[in-house]
Amino acid sequence: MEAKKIRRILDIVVLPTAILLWSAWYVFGIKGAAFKDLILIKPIFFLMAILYVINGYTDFRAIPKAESEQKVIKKGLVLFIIGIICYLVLLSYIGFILCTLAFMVYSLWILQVRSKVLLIALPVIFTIVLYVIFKIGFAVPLPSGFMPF
Amino acid sequence: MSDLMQGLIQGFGSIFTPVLLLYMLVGTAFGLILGALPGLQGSMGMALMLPFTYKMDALTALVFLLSIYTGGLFGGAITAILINTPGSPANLATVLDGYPMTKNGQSSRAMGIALFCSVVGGLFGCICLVALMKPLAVVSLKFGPAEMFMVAVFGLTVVGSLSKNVLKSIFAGLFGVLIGTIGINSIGTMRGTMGIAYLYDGVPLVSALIGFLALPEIFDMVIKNKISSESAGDSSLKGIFQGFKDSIKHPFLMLRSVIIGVCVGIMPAAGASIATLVSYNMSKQFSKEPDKFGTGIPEGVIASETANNASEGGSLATMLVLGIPGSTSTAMLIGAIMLQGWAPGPRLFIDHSDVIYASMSSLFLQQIIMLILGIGLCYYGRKVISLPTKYLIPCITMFTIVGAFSGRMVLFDVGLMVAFGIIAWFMKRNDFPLVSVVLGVILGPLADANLLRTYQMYSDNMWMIFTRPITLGLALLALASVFLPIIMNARRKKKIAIEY
Repeated sequence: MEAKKIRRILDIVVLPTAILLWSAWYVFGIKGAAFKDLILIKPIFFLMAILYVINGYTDFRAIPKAESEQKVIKKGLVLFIIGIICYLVLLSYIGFILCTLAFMVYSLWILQVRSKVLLIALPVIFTIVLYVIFKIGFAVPLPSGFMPF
Repeated sequence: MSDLMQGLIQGFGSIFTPVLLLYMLVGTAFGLILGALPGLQGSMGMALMLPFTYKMDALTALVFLLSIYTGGLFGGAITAILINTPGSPANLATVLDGYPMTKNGQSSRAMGIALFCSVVGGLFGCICLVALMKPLAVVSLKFGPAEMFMVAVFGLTVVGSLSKNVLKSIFAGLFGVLIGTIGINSIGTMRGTMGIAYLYDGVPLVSALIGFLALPEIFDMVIKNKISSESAGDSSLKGIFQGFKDSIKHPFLMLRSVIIGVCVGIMPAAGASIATLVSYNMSKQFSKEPDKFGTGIPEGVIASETANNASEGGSLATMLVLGIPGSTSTAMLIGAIMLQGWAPGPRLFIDHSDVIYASMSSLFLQQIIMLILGIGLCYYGRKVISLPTKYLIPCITMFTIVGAFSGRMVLFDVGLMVAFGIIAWFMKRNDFPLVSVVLGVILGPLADANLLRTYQMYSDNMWMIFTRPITLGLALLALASVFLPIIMNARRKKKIAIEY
């Protein structure tokens, strides 16, 4: 079977199945649930199950005719998402200013920005703008990490 | 009525002072900018400024907060059009045609339409507020749990029309409803929280809005070069005024959207978010070319932005006459009234009529100020999207992260937003419309809580709810919303088949 077809089948099956399984866990996993607690969500789950079957069937039938290219998950996108996750993990420890500077330099780099001026100026200016707007303007307690501000 | 007109005319005289004009200018600008920032809303600005209003006199306080409210309603349309992220639930339907217009290189035109229609909707909403305040408020009192459940169902029926693949759209909408019902429900049962305390109050709306709508677009931008094909040489002012002309060409559409906006605006807790969706859906159903909705046509933006601003009049009627807040923003206004030592409710018009009428008069002027400031915002907003995405992506991403954090000041909300973003990107790859998910997240809690209350009231015989005329009417509207497009589509295809 072609790799593209296998990818397409995985796309059709994996995501809707994951959503349906989560929905099942959500609806049937509620501890001490009375009828009232499920009055809306239980019928919704069964409706989703029916739609899952119908959508899966129509998507499978459409596989041979589908001409559009599936979006390929590119390396740059994966690195970008990893960057966001690392940012969130390190934010409380390193603080908003340093973390934001690092993240912006990192993301500009993986987006192929190579100008040294831009790699320094844009993160610095933007971090200052964000800090002024949110921390000073809106009094949002941005994490300071080990820094005093 | 003559007392009302006299009160308003006197009110107009009171608001033309340098101080009040300055507060209106600053408030509207503040609301516009807040609304345009991803993750922030006009209601946040009102919350921030509320403590400062304690030191102001009542009229200044109300005028200032109303200005922020007015500005915030349009500001959210900017991000809805430029980066597919509604600034608030009230701008949800604007993304459906606004963002496609940006991708078609017509961002200025879309923003021009949104601005003009916001002003028109706001002005007519104010006229309705003045003319129909008391009858509107009386009708709003008739909305009990059964009616509110039907309002949510009616809003959810829009889901089916948001995509060509109706079944996937419904699946996505139902998924959104389940997400929206996570948390402790109104009878104290914990659902889907996985023991995480941050989910006890439910999924934060900002995380869902940004995660499902903005992040997938940001991820797509990582592999594209620009957001739109609009050339840098195009004059954005020309595009904005073209948008004004487009709006003027659809007077009946604007009128219908105003009526829908005002009528829905009076419903407590429904307000602008449902008004915009219902208006969009009805415009699509009654359009001669319904298939074009969602591809980037002016009618889609006209319907959504006129209705959400018109709903302001309806929700203010409920707040001023009955003292019932229909939204976070109107709750802030009630807070401001109470900070002045006044009791919200019908006695406001007896004890403080001069201030209330002057505040209502200021609403008209705020729309004009919003028009002037909005042109500037639209002009510079358009310039932003012509930048290469490699510079925009880190900046927009940081705004979304800080915006998501600002709501409850917890990093969990940001993590949730990122998780939603990743799920949404995969859903988008498989043609699941993401607006349907967000619609479910917004309306799910409303439907769930009111169905529960309805069950508690009518547990012996639930069918009794259909003896209530408003519930029955809304149920019929919901059925019509589902089946009418199917019937009209079948008739259209039959007509085409006969012609050929």
